Amino acid sequence: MADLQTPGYWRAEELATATSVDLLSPGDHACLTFSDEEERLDIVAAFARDGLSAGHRVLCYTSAYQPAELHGRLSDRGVLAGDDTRPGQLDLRPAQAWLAGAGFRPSAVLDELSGAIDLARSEGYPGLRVAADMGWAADPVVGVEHLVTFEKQVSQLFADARVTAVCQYDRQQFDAVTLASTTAVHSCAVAATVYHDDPVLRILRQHSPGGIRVSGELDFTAMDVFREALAEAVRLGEHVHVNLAKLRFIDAASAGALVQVAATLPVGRVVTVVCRRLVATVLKHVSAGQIPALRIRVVPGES
Amino acid sequence: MSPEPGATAAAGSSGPGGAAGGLPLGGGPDGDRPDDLAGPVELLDQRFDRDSLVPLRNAVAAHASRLGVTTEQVEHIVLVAYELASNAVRHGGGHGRLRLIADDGMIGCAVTDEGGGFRDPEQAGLLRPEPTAISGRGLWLARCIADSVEISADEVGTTAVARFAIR
Repeated sequence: MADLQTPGYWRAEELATATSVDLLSPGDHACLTFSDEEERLDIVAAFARDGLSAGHRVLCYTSAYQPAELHGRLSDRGVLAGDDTRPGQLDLRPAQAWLAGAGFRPSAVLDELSGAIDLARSEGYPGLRVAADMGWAADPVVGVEHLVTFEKQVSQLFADARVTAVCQYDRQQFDAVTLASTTAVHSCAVAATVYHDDPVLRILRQHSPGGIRVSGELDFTAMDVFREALAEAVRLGEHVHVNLAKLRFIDAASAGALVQVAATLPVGRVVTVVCRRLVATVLKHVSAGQIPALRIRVVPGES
Repeated sequence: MSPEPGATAAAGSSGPGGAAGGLPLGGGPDGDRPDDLAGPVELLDQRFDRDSLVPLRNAVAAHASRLGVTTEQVEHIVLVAYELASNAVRHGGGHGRLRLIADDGMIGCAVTDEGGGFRDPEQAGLLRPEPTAISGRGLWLARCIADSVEISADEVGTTAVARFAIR
């Protein structure tokens, strides 16, 4: 289950100044604190995709998954090594390698990162992006008390070398004090654009593939914000991906709003909906079947 | 999910006509059986307005799921009950009353409101709205999902009754 609890007070503070992943620029050492794994993967996917399309080298340290599994999850989100990407341009490595030997030694990791910067330069890449899943640091690891100092040094290194980075911290794994102190030594915070967030319904922008993600229960009382989120997705991308995989309930009015958007898109543009069977049933009955631009993919989902 | 505390407080003490409130839910002549035989069982009697539609959905789900029906059918009953209630909220004066009744292999959901109702209640929601339509999909959807939906109106308000054969 996604965590739909009301965000804590400092989370609200952080979000007020957070930037969107597509606005990061070289030298930014951003911190992503997340409670929803989908949100994290979406932002990492957008970060990697934008880096690859700019011709940059993209280095992802992964903790929650093995590299091959992360590769699959990024591929699912449209991060593709295309014809114009170079071998090794997208490089996925286990973050646990930072702990080889005597636990976490910041100087060894800084050396490794410096080496990656030098290598990217010598191979002619115009830039380097680093994504780091910091989940390993929630485990009882020798040396983890140096984490804040380490992140501070990384900020300096990346600012000097014009590296763009996103460190990911799970709000459920880290205590509030650790989160506050690590967030503070990053140069900025990154977060998904939130259109609506309460215990019943969450509407977020989805970055990769571009669109929106809606979870919980959607009915006419949230129609205005749902329409606004859809309209922005239509403005931002040619094709609109509407991720309803975690949506437990949709009413006819909201399904109708989605159908309306798809029905009025210019020819050639597509709305792809991923949803549970109940949502697909509602969409079908409110005449979705008549709309060529609307593609519906049913996924299994818990009730 | 658990039912709202007190959601069934009114059960068994509802108005004239016994537990089922006189609703013709049995279908066919058997629906008129005398009250002293095993008959309709009222599962839920809950008033609602715009701000209580989420707890209403939870209560309907909790009660419907106790009848041993499939998860899919529970979802369908919740959907239809909600659409009838939503219709009352938006077009029927802003609030209403929902009763859920089990009777002889059927589940009935009756929603009453005090709104103006429809000019032609029996025809409401019978035509599929165009994809570009602004509204009017709720009753259409309810008619698609339930085994039957009957809508009637009098000077007091509108009553919509949806029925499902238990599967």
